[in-house]
Amino acid sequence: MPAASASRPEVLASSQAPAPSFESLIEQFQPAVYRFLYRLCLGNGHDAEDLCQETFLRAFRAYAALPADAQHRAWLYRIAYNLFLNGRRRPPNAELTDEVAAPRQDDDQRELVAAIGAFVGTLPAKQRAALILRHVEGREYCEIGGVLGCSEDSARANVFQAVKKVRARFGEEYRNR
Amino acid sequence: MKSHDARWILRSAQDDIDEQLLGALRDAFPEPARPSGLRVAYWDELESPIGTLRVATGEDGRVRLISFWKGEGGFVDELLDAGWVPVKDRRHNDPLERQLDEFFEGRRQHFDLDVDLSSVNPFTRSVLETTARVPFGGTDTYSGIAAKIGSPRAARAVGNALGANPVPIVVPCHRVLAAGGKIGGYARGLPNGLNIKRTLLGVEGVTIGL
Repeated sequence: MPAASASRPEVLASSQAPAPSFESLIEQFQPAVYRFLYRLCLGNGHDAEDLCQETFLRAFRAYAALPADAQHRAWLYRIAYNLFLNGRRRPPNAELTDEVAAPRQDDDQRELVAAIGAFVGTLPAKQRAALILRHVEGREYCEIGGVLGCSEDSARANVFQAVKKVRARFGEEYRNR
Repeated sequence: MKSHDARWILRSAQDDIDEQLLGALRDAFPEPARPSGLRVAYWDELESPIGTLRVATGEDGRVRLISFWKGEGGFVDELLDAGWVPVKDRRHNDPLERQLDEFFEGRRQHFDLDVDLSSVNPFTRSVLETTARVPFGGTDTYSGIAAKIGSPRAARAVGNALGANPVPIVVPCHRVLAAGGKIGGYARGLPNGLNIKRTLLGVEGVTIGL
């Protein structure tokens, strides 16, 4: 059980830099973790909130064992991603909620955006997460690999496959516009 | 046109399509419409005449948990098991700690605090709400509380419900005694639980025999 103040003296002893308190992790990363889950859940805010809460409960229990030089954001994202994988409650063909559909665009463009979002929801979870992390959040491949629990090359391959599928499905429509 | 020029034009067109597709992808996954907070329990500890008290208050200012029989790990585990992320913080517990200090110093007879009883079942909630109306310096009995909630034969169940009180002292389960003026039980069978019950009653000027 970690010290509830999460000051982790046993880790601090072997580290140059002091480990951040768990509270500071919440302040720094909770909004980003929620955003990531919200996108993974295709805009289902309730599922994203539940998963985000569970992410930080799990993280609290595991924080004492985390190396002080760990990449905290990738570590939290990985917990979040694994919880998403374990508890996927939405069917794979789920469509984006109205809340997610991009506003203020003409009908054709809005339909296309919604269709792309729904299509991404049908991709294998790893490719969906990789695509969102790379092309929506702009993360580096090494961090994406850390989140997905794979190598940087594998992360790159997952992004590549996802983009290839999106391009194959929607590229023609763009060519004809 | 040279072949490498044609390839460049095709490649450039492909890049353009990709850029449009990726732009649409970003539009498909916008920021959430509203931010989401965590359910956090701010906890702290304070010394008292009955030992170290550990207390937790939510962001909404409601008192969630008070314990004098659990160590730090057990207390934090209980918060986690209830789904609250524990954050050690004195500020959110200031009103509770101040009022507890005043109670133990004999300067407060009533706690002016909201409590969170969402973690208990309806029967226990009913027992605790009735117990909260037993005044400072007064006592009631398990059977008396049972009668007040309309379940006169449920004295034993009342005792169990009081044992599940998440916020003792503030909800004064120490004021509920066994029939015949006997002290009954306290603190889920903690070895010195009855001494603690006597101490709390003593703060209120109530003396109970062995």
